[in-house]
Amino acid sequence: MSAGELVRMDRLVAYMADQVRSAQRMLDAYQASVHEEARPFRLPPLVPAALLRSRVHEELEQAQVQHYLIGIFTWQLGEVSAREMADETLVPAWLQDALRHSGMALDALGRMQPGYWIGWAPRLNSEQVKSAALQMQHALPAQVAGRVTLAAWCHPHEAVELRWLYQDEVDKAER
Amino acid sequence: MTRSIWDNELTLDEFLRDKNRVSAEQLAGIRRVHAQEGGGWAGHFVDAGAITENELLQLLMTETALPFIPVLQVSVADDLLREFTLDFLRTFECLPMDRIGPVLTMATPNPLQPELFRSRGSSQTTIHLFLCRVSEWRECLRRLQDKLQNESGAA
Repeated sequence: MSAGELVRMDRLVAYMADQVRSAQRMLDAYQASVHEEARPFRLPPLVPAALLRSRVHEELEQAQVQHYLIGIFTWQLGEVSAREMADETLVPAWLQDALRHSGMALDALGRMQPGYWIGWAPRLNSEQVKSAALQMQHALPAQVAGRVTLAAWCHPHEAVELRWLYQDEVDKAER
Repeated sequence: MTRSIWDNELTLDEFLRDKNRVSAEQLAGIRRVHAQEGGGWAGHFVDAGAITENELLQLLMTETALPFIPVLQVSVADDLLREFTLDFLRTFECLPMDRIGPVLTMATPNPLQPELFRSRGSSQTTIHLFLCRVSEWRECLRRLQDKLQNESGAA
């Protein structure tokens, strides 16, 4: 690299560093001006179906090893729409409603089977888990409310075992 | 990809609005969250429930004719991953997949970002884009982040 080129690069780095700092200041100012309560509802990140089982196992184990509580929630509804059947990334409206009114944000959500969903949020105690589950139950739309099976655990306080969550598969294997 | 998408440098928010996949109100909300939290467009649209991952993938495959890549099944060389900052991968929702000679292959759930070409494309390097799902890209990034954290913890 020639001396001229080096000078040009040096000036470019100084110029860009200044631009980055200036842009960062603007971003910080904007973010500080926005109130947290204005944040609209967001779906939790979806875990790819192929990895779901190992992710759940990993989350449970991590909570045990690192000594923190984790809230595990499952929702099950027998009837699955054709659209939901065809698209495993579609979070059904009734579940969106339940999550929207749960009063907390899940870390992740995944579809174990059509109509059978699991989600989790670390660092929730038993009371918080129970309260969130109750709020979800109340938030379910009337047309499905009586037919959704909602379960919630605070692991490892109420130890969750993977085989319970995948009971259908265990039953099939045993048959 | 149709030329108009490339030539006009249409971004994903504009594209989905043009396709009537989001309402003006939804879009305004998503733009506010995006401005507040940063990150990439595809994730914001999916998290807002405006479109499912599969719908987005299908729509982009149809419009761009880019191929799909199952990113979780691809093992990426460490050196290649380290060429990019986590911030860049997160903001531009991409992941380098492979480099063979002058061709750098990148996976993304959102190809409508000229920065993907500008960042590494040059007269010596050609960028090939593949499409992937948001959740699969996120999982790869989560693994990468864990790996980097473990390494820095061990050091």
